[in-house]
Amino acid sequence: MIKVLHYLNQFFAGIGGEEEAGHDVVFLPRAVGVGAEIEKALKAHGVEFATIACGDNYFHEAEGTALQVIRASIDQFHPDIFIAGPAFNAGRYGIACAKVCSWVRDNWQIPAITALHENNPGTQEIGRYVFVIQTGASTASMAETLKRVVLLMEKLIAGDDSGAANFRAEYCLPIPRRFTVRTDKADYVRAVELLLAKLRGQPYESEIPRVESEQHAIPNLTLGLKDSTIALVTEGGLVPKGNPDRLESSRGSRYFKYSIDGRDGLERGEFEAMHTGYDTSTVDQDPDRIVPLDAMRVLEKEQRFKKLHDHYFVTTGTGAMPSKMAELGSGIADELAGAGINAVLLTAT
Amino acid sequence: MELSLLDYSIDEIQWGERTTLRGKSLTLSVAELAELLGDLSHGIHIDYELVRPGESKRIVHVLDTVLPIAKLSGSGTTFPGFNDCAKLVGTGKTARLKNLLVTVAGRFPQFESLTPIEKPREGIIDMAGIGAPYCYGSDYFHLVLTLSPDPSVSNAAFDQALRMMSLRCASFLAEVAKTDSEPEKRLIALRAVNHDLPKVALIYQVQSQLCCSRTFYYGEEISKTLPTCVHPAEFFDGAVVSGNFKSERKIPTSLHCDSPFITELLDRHGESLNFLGVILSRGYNDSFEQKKKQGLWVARLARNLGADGVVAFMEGTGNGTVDFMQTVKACEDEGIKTAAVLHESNGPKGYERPLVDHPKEADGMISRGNVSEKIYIPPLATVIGGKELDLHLKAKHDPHLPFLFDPTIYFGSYSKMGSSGFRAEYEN
Amino acid sequence: MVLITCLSNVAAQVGVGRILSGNKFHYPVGQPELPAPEELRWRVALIEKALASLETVVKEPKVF
Repeated sequence: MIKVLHYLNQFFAGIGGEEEAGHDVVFLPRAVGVGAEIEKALKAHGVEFATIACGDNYFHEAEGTALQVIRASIDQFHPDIFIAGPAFNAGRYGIACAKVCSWVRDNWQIPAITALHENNPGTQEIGRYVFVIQTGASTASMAETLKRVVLLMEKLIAGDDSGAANFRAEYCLPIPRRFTVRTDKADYVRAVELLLAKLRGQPYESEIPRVESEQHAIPNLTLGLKDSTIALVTEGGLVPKGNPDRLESSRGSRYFKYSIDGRDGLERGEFEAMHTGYDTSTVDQDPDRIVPLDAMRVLEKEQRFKKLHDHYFVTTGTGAMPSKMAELGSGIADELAGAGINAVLLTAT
Repeated sequence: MELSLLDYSIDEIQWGERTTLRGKSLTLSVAELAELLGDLSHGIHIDYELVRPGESKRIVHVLDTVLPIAKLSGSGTTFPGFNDCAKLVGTGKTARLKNLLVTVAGRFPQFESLTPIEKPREGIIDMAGIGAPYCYGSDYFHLVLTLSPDPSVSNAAFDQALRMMSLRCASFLAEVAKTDSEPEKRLIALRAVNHDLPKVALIYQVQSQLCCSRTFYYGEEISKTLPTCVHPAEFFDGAVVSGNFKSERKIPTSLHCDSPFITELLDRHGESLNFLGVILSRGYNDSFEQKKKQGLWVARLARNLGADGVVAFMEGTGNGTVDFMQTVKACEDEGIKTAAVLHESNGPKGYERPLVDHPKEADGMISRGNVSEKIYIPPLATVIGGKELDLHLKAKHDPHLPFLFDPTIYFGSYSKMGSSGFRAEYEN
Repeated sequence: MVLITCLSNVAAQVGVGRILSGNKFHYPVGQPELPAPEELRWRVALIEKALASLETVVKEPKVF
């Protein structure tokens, strides 16, 4: 008996439309909606279906809790294969499908299948080995997509690895990401061989691509500095002594803001730096060495600019993934823009 | 200058009354070890364990591994700068137990009072299973010294003690009485060769910043020295010792004295290349200007040696990558071709920029793999060295339970991933 | 936005518009070797330079 667990959002599970997007996770011991069609097509193989239904907004807002409930269901149901969607071009649904599939594949090493349109933002959340069947932009391609889901599942049920690999090449979205593979030559051998090729004028291939960062338009001040409000931001991990919000000392998962209202400088003993990437003992002696409040106050009094924002923002950058830091940066930018801040002075270590 | 190595290997290890090597069978005496280390282990309780390749054992809180080496003749003693007054090494004869490690495990007594940058990182050695190709040491025999310091011992004293104990123990084991044991002989020398062969130097960039993240050359912290030329034979005699506890990215002391990069270049010396020697440099310089200078000085040394090309690798990650790339750039700017080895941090889902810094001059990169990719890690039968894993200060984990983590939990993984042949590639 | 960092080359690679080289990465806006009043004077001068960069129109990454 092959067990299949199927993740659907509130709409495809028949719970409701957008008004039910906040619905929490439900486990149903049967196939539902399109899952029932897949189950029917696989009847000859003897599959047992169960369904996880989760509101798109709920997953986005309470991902940790949602995954906990799904974990309990998996530990009870013991699926052999996991499917999510199809989500076509639905963004929140696609991201949820991608995240859950990746998490299931990582933690249980069972095949995980989803189906997305190439523009679905969920394609940026796909982990290794997940199958992402390419779909059209809307449910108009549902029938064809379900046929392909069934085709893939038949290969997986039969243990046909090369068939599954061929399927991936033919029907899955090409989403190139960099993962570890094992070669039969050690790095020191390949390095000497590459160098000798270079020295002999022979062709050689650099194994690590130089990835250009996306360049953004650089904003310029629209009003004079004298009329501008400036905020201080740092990635140096400086927090009030005692680290009340438990900022991590590497790979900050969140940013925090702390009041500097009424302060002319940052006093030793009132702040500490949580950061494994630099020797924090010097800034612990005088925290203005990482968040230059005292200097900013001098220049504020001289009216070099209009006002210093009453909070500074902080996270810890060392070891972090750029995409996570971009997310935190967006959050900080949104808050600052909302508070009427015109410019930022950011310190990094 | 030439050094003769006498390489003994073992296929068996057990406890007994006297420490002795008979054929390939090594017997160790706890009483003799305890007496050997008595004056160094004040306030530190030592548990001794034996571990063999392939056993379902997980060693945790690994701080360092040391290869048993001892001089039989020639100037100085192995691990110069720690046991004796200054003398140059790399000549005469040195005995080695090639496939045994003295492995030190434990936690600093006042761990919480170390600043974040000083805190040692968790490092585990899985002797079998999925983790074995990622952990340095998984294919060696181990004498594990698990250290439990009293709260009265200071961090500085513990740091010194663990180093002195492991070095002394390693020398002692290499000097053990040997019966019916035939060593393999190997000569470490840079004899004159055909001058048409391309001249190649090795750039060896270590991490040395402050307590718990430092590397020593003849007992001096490398952060306090200039980059310099080192003869390969000095490495084999233990001239470079690790005091770096950034586990996954450190070069263990045993790897400093048995570098596969040096061995590969020695093996090819006279055949496909003319190996000029090693340039020892240091990453994590404090400012961008200092990083640039380090690069320029290393390139100047390479030019002075007459190098046509260099193979380069580094210990560490993060801002140490900038020193490394400045070095690669400076060499290329001097017309010295480079092949540079580095790990990639592509993120758990493979989307992130591979490298912190990647100037266009670094066009001959060799990859060690994606070190931020998650691996499902099942438990092994036995855990040695501690009761809980420190998941890099974020959480604790019971080492008897499975967990999902990236290779940064494995001791010496960046070096080991390289020597295991891992690399990263685009995959759909 | 102006970024004060020691790793100005990395900042330029990721497209940061205004970059100021700070002091050592352990204290980008500090000079602990100086007595406190002189350190403050140095810091004010550095931040003044940062503010001046905000007033400069920039089209691509520039190290000030």
